[in-house]
Amino acid sequence: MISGACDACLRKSAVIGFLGPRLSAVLGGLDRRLGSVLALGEAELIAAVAGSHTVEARRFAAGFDAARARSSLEEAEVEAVCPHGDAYPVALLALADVPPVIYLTGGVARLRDLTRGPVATVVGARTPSRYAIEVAQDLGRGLAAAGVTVVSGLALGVDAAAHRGALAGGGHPMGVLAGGVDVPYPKTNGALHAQIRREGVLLSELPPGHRPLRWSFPARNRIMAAVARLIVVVEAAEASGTLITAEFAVQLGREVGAVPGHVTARLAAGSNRLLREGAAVIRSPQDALDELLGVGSSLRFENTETARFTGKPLRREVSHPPARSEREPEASALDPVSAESRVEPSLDPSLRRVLDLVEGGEGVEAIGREAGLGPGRARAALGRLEVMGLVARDGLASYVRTLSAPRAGAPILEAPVPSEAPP
Amino acid sequence: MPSVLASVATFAIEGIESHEVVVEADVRRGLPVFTVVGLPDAAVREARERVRAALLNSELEFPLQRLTANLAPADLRKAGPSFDLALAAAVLAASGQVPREALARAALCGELSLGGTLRPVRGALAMAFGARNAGFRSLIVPVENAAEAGLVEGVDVLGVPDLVHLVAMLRGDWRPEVPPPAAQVIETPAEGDLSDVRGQADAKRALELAAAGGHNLLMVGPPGAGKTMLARRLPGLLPDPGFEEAVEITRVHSVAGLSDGGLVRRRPFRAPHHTISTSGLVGGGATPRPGEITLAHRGVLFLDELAEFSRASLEALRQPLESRRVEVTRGQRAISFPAAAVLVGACNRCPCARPAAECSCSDVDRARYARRLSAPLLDRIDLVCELEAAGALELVGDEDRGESTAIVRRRVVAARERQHLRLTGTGAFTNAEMAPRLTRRHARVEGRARTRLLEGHAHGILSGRGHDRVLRLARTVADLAGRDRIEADDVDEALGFRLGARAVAA
Repeated sequence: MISGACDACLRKSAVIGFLGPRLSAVLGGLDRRLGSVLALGEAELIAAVAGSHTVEARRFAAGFDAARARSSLEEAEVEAVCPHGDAYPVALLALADVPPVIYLTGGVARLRDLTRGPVATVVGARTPSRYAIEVAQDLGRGLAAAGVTVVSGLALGVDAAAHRGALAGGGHPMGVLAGGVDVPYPKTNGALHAQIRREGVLLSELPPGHRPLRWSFPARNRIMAAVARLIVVVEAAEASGTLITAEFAVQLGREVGAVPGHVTARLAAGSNRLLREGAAVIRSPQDALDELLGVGSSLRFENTETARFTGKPLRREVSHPPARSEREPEASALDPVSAESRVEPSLDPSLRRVLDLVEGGEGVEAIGREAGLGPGRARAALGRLEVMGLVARDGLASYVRTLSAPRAGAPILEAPVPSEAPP
Repeated sequence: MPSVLASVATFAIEGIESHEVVVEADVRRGLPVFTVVGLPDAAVREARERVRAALLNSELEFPLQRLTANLAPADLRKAGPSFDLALAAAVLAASGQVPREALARAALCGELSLGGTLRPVRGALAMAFGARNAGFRSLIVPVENAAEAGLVEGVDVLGVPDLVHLVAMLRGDWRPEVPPPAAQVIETPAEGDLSDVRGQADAKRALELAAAGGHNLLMVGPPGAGKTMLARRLPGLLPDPGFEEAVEITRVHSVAGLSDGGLVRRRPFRAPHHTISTSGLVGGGATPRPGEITLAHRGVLFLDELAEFSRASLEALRQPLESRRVEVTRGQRAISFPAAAVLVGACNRCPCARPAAECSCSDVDRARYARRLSAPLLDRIDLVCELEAAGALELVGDEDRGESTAIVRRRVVAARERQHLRLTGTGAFTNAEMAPRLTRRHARVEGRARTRLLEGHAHGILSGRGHDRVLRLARTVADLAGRDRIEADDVDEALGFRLGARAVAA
């Protein structure tokens, strides 16, 4: 057993990288034949897709120098693992077209550790609703805090929100890229890419330096589906890339869950259909944990801080709680987000009414009317709720209900403040 | 060699300020040419032809000698036709047709027609201020400008119809009528009543606050909700300008050539189209002219479809919104225009402009649309209100009309009264104009109200600039309620109307 990648695998991976543009031409975008093509051996692959570039591809394969590839990996500070090594994520072996090499940043040890614990993939639309962003962030944070490795694809929207949530929850998020691990894509997520490179693990089956290609997005999705035990779709329209991930997950026998959306929302049509077809209903991190580990389970870090700063393997333990009746009713970050526990019980009835109206998607004008408040009063109530962190501005106008209530440590709610001495 | 020299004073307009210019005329024997030196522009050089023809057509003598006129100081650019009269007077004095002493303590300005009649000029009010400050006893202007220039006390304004009367006056044979002191009042009818717009309580409240405290306002809502109608009703909610403010407005309008000869008693409402250039909006050009924000001085600048204005134009608004002045630098000269206007912007909620239920825009689309407005600009807008699509019933029905302009205006005037008492002598007219030091003195919050602000900071919805702006808006809310003390509810409302720092950055 080796810890890196063997010469043959490196060569096959390099050939796939070399043939990338040809694969795009042959496969197009969301093509289901992807698996069968990538599963081919090196020679067959060249024969199948290289076309007029066959000679060049053969010459490239023959001239491949594993030592040089290794040194350039070292230069790029990227590591590689192949199925013949012991660090290769075992879950990926379930794929019909096992990626010959997984390139990664963040260290082989960390990868090994993260993939051996519980893993959940959180994916969704690139242009999601505000609600989906809130939910994705909440899921990322709750799962990470419970010690679950959160996987996503570093795309805009839900993916980025899930990663950010996982980082906020103190986890080591895993990002699976459609291009080389050293190529931030999309550029907008450059800072997030850098942060995950530092604190988590970035994976890709394409060698460093490769730009993502049309076929490599669904290819990336199959890795995201394979690497996790549970795939949560936060929000997906019909015929979207996210649904491809869910489809791969079903084929691989992974658990699929989805977050319910408005039944009228075009953006949530795909994820709602998944629910109709039997996907698990995910309302909160706890729901995801229930799917992942069995009802009532919870995971905890032992000595989280040490683990984070020393990079030592994280020790986790699964605690199976006693029978439900004996459990103490304690509120945690894992509770369903819509539950009453989120709202301060002392909330003034008129504020609560306004909050309900915000949740119902009403505009400010309608809120004032429905709640029977004068115009200025409706704004005052909204200002109050915004300061309490219960609502947030939605773009230029109107408000939305937030799910990520402010952290417990921060508030200075109604604390007596000494008045300033007059000058 | 006999030569005769005469000098006459006039004024050049730069921005809305006037600068004294001395016109010297030198007449000596030689070939009959007329030269004008001293940085004149094309219009001033052409004055030679007008002066010659005007003199001859008025049956006055144009000396057939070598004639040189100098406009001093020579480093100041002189533009426009307002130097005609001073040039003609200098020629008359140098050729001995009028007594030179008669021009010793007088300044002149005016454009000549070929027939010798005088045409009104821009900036007569600014010139009258200049004449008074420079210690001239009288200012001779075209008769159409007399009422406007006569607003300035401490200088005799003499309105003259043509060159013949000028000569008669200077010879002591004729005396013009002194214009009536308070001048004529130009009263434009108010733009409809607030109760014409049904519903939209949120926007009406925001409008009232904007009127009461001079706060900038952004109205967000679908087309046809009444954004433009409401904006047009804002000037009617504002108290009439006091004399001091009216003179400021008149001065700007006079320089821009918008004045029709008297004191402007109405607050301006300017609504430039979104295709306007940057210099059209904030002022500028080779010879700096006031932009729309200056023309809206002490009134309302309404920018409909705010997101469609060019990025450069909106960025250029930032500085004037903060300092309430526009600074334009041309060559070595810095010119400053007043720009204390209330900005009212209007835009749609999202690029598709459909009501929320039918909107197909993603968050990214909407964020991109909002970004066009630039965060620093949004940060200077205290009030962001929301309008809902007007239902068919609301358009036809008669209920829910809300308050009339007169009722709201009464509250606004009372709130302004309170501000006036508080701010007299500070240079600020409204709460929105309070400098940080004034804000801290007059918008003090204590107890629960203060806690609210601290919470706002803790949750990242308040920035440093936002803090003071929320305080000023809360001050206005309290003023409208007739309270000296700012309550927690006032702060809540201010926070509710302001687009939080986080939302701006998103």
